[in-house]
Amino acid sequence: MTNTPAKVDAHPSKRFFVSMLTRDIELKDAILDLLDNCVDGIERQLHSEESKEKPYSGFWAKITANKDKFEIWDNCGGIPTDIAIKSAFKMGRDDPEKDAGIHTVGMYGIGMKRALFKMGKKSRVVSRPKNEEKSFTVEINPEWLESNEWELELNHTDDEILTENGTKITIEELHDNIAFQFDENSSDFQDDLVRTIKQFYALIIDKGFEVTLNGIPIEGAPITLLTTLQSTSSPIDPFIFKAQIDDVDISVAVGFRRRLASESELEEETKNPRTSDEAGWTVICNDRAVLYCDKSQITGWGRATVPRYHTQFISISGVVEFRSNKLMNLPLNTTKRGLDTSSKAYLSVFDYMTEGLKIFTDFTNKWKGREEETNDFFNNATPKKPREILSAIENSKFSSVRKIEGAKKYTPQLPVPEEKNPLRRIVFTRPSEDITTLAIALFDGSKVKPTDVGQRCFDLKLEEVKSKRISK
Amino acid sequence: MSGQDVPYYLRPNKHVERQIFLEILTHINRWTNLTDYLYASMGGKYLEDLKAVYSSLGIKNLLSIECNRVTYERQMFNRPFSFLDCLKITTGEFISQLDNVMEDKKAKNCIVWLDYASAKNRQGQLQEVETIASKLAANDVLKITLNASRKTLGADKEENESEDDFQKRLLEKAKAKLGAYFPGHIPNHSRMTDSGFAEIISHAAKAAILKGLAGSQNISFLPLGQYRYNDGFHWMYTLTGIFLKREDEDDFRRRSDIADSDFISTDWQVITEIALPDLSIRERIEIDLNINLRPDEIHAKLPFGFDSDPDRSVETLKRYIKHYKRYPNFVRAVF
Repeated sequence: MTNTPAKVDAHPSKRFFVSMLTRDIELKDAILDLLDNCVDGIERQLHSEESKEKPYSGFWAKITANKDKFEIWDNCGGIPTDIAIKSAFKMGRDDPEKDAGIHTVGMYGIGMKRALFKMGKKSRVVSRPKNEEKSFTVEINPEWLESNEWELELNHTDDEILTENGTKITIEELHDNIAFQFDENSSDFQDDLVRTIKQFYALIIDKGFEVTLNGIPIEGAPITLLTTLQSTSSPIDPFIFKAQIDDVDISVAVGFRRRLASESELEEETKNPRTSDEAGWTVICNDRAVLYCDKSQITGWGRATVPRYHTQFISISGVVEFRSNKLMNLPLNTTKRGLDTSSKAYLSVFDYMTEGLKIFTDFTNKWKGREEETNDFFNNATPKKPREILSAIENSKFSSVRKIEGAKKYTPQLPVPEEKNPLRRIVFTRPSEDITTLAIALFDGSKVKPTDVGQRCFDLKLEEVKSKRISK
Repeated sequence: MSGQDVPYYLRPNKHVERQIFLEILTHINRWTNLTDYLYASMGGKYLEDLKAVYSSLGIKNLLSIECNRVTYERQMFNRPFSFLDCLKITTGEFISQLDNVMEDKKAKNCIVWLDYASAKNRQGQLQEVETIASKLAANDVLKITLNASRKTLGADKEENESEDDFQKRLLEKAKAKLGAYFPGHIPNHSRMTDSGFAEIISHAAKAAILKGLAGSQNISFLPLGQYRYNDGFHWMYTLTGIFLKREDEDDFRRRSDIADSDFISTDWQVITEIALPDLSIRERIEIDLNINLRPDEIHAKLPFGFDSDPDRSVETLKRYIKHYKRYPNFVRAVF
């Protein structure tokens, strides 16, 4: 008797795939994945030729989101029919080298499918690929999702449904929780989405890409740092580092985005930490932000001699940019909303991020209690985007870095407080009624800050003591 | 000086706004009986709104929230009914203890008015609105008052500063003060007028409520009226609305007859301005005699005008006609 091995069914279950894929990603990130596809579409057309300041100008993505449907329509080149047939609708990419030589961010070939399944049961992808005569449509319906069928129909059409070369993805029969989030009268999700796109797409929008949500254009919110661009009158400048590691071009700029926070601001900040706070590190991979204003250990806060993030550091902001056409070398995780901290490029640059950060936490600590004295330094500095600063600072100002060949850094010489008769902070508490009594006596009114009352009492007493000394 | 030091009877706009609030409650009362509701508000030293709610709707379960000791002691002295309870407690404490308070008061539903007169700590106020929205149940009513004066943003116009630059600065201030509640699509800086700022505040209030409701998807908040009025010192914004089970909304709309009211709007985009002209009693009697006529006809009969421009004059008259029934009568009384 021959022993024929029995076959074991090891096919993936579609239901499992769909539910697992969609649980791993937030709705916002799923939408960003679709936008990433648009930008990758542009990159494929530009072929890395980005000499212009606004290379993405003329390209757009229009998003419509309401409780009945989600739609994203772009003019970014469309999906070539052979790619659509062979791989675009496949779960996962077979060929990681597909976009070799282009600065894309799509890596795993999962974004579009994940977004479709995440949002609804019925979807339609219409595309009018560049340099092709016909448009095509691929539909996914609820029955297909339930079946074990893995193929979809692609239908060609002569109608010019799309006015330009591009793709229109429409998702209907939205899942209840998705419809709830898209309904403006039920949830503030749309506000959140706009904010996220502003932050994570700031650089891409700055390069000319237009994104609208329900007809309203979304403006980018690029991070800026204060700089004097080497003018000698005031030395507030960011720390800058640039290098090429593992075929990745890296630049770091960290510095002040605003003047130091006053004591009263810090008090308010402690009570109501602003979630829109723009302090911390932003990490960008191929123009797309993957971390926005991070204040955790991942970006160096609380590592080695750098203090943990605290509200007094609200003025410090940093941007790290990674750029490469070797996608796998970028420190990017699958949701693109987090860092792959084990990547060589990130590990190499991390020390210089903390070196830069330390300069500004030290400055903040040294001037603690005398923040107002630093205002003059800040008044002469203007906000500029890191890229502008990088290209404006003369080469001669950069010094080389011993450990990394070809790497350069610029370390600003920030002002140091004079140590003669240094200022010391006095902190004490007294009953509120007593402070009011003094406030009325000293300032004719009760609405004076306790700090001012305390200060005035100190000054008056000091004056009295000094004048007594003179008269003796 | 803040508006809270001026008594109601000297603030006709606020008086009218309060009358409209009572009208809204009357409409809600047609749908569900409010008599057994708990009414909680920051009644101030005279507890005016609590008295009014009792006299017009018969609500006896009344609770005043007050954190200032001096005001609280005056409240206790001024307390008009034994069933009106005053708690010396902050709004934050009240909100976190809401479930216990409801149990103590043996109430199933409540009407809460958070009257934030101060412009300090707007984000803290909105966080409280978010928290209470997460705690209120279907059929509960929420009213909030927020300061909507752009002058409270802490930016004074500098001598040589253009209005354009000033408005840009105000917008930045508003953004910082409202944090996560600020609109995602940033409004154009030219909207940083007092009325534009009220729209931003309205957006922030909506965002706070919707954030609070994120965990209860079967409940929605239906706005019933948003108003903006000047209390003599500041522009104030108020919002009144009801929390409803989604499936009850149509029934509520039908049975409460809200469509019949000129002042109720369920549209988040509508903020009604209440700006009453200052009129003498003789002027009012003259106008009231012809109140059934069209505004331009009434105007033509008047031996006086309100503005050098005839169109603006008629507009002023219209503002009176809109609220003539609610316009307060102030007379000197001798005790």
